[in-house]
Amino acid sequence: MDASTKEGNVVGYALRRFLLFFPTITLVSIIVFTLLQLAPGDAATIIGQDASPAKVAALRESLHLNDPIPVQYARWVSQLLRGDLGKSLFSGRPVITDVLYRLPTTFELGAMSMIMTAVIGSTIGMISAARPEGLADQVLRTFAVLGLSLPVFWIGAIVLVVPALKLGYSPPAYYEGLFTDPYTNIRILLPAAFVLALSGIGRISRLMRATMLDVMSQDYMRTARAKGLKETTVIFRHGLRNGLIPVVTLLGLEVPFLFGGAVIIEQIFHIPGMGNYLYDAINKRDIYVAMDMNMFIATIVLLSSLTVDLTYGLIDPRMRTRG
Amino acid sequence: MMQQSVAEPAAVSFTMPQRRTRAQRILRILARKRLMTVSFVILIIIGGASFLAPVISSYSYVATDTAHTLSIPSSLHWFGSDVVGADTFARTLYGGQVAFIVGGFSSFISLGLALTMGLTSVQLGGKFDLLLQRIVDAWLSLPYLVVVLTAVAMFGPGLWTVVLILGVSRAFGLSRVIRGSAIREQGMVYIEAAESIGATKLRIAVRHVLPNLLPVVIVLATLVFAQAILAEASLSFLGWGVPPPKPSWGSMLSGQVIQYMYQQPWLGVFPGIALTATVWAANLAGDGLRDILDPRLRGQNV
Repeated sequence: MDASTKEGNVVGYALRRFLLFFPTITLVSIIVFTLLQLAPGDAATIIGQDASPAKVAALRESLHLNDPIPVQYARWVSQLLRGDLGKSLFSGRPVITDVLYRLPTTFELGAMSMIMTAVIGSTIGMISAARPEGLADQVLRTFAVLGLSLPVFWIGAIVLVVPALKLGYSPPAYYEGLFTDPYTNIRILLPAAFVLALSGIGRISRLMRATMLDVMSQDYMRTARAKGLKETTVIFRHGLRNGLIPVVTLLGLEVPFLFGGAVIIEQIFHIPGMGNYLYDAINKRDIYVAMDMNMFIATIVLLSSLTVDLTYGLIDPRMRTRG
Repeated sequence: MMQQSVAEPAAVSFTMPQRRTRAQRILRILARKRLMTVSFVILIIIGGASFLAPVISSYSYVATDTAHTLSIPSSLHWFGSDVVGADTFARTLYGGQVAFIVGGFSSFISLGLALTMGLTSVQLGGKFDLLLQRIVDAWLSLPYLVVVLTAVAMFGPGLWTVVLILGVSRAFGLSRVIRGSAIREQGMVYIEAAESIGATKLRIAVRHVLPNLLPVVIVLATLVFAQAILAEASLSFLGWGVPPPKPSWGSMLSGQVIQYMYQQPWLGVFPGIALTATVWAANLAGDGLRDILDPRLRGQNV
């Protein structure tokens, strides 16, 4: 295989992977739309709970709910494509305004949590892999499973209640943005991000252990040792570099878990983020906001997995052919 | 334990060491896999105690004892009592019933659907496989808790709604794992043999591939059981799970309860421990089973 075809494979892989994004996101929109159509009652009956039948009928007309379902779907999608996420049924505010206001908060929370997951998770995985089946390995592995078994809301409650009772310390009651009041911001988000990271730490450390054990048995590791390199050089320069590649992929897969966890953790720590917005919408049965939020979150998840796959394809040539 | 033992030809059988009975082999595995054994024992104890709740506890989960509200564990209320004076021990036991029912039934639904999807995808292949896999991609881009919460909120909370929604939502991701294993089986010689004698696709899927997927299915069932219990507790915590008065470990730790935990921290101790212990034990049991039944899945997060 000469250089030009190899080059072509990379581009071909990237293009195929990129094109896959469109049918998938279309299917997501159909799933989300169907899910919210299946629900008993429609938007008009939800806002007009105590209204007269005539008023509900008028509402239904003004929300275009009498149109055929495919027409309603087409209208929703064309709005989404124009970047118009519609309005909340209750506040009447455009959804996009609220989303853009809340996105930075959840992004900061997610980023902090992701860094903790990556650093703590891969460190634990490395220690585990250093002496497989040793005491440290067995203990750490059992705790990694604990990490993915802990209910986020229980640990969140413990993190709030125990310091308050034992040390008289409570995090600030009101959330402040990173740029308006960094100290308050960090004191709320740091513990929240840590609780959110626990399950990811469990998953990443397990994967890190498995890949490091795999890397350790490779020929290039033996060669590195045979050349007389120091053990630390062997592990960090040769082992870790290769062992981290799959971990990067798994970090991309952590994004959906972060959104799921954010719904809970933002509730406990009173953080006005996207999870909190979705939860409010769901509690009010504001189905348009719920639809748009599901769509928005799915788009972010798909874009991050696309990014990971594309970078991965460029870093690791073995992946290109698998498509 | 899961594989049928192969009968040796009579001519060589005398050179073989004496065969252990099935019970002996299971005991040996349990003795070697101590963590897994302990996990199963914990699951049996918590599950058994939950379903024997009316026998074990003299309290009902709704009875209120207004003389003893927010009390610490005592001989009267073993796990203490909540803000209306309901017995936390009884509520924790009845909450366990909800957890085990949701975990059991929803993982059963998940695996049934996942097997159907995975096997049809592999057997029909081609365009059908391509389309189904894109639908799975699409579904997986919706975070589990987000889509489950949205669905429950649309259909209204309730024990069986939660079971159904958790079961169906989780099936898509699992069908991927099943599909992967089924593709591996598809390359085996025995499939070729079955095809050569004219077995239909349905027959190959049900009679040949399915039994060989049993180890994978058992491992997945244990892990999905744990995930479903955690998901139900999360939904109940958010107020969209199993509606009151039926207690759930999630709702016993929910928003308003956290406020009372500042007054009486014992409120949060036992439901949290019960939930964590159950999920942890099921996960460890699943890991142990995976090591024994399907080492190829090791290190994978499903």
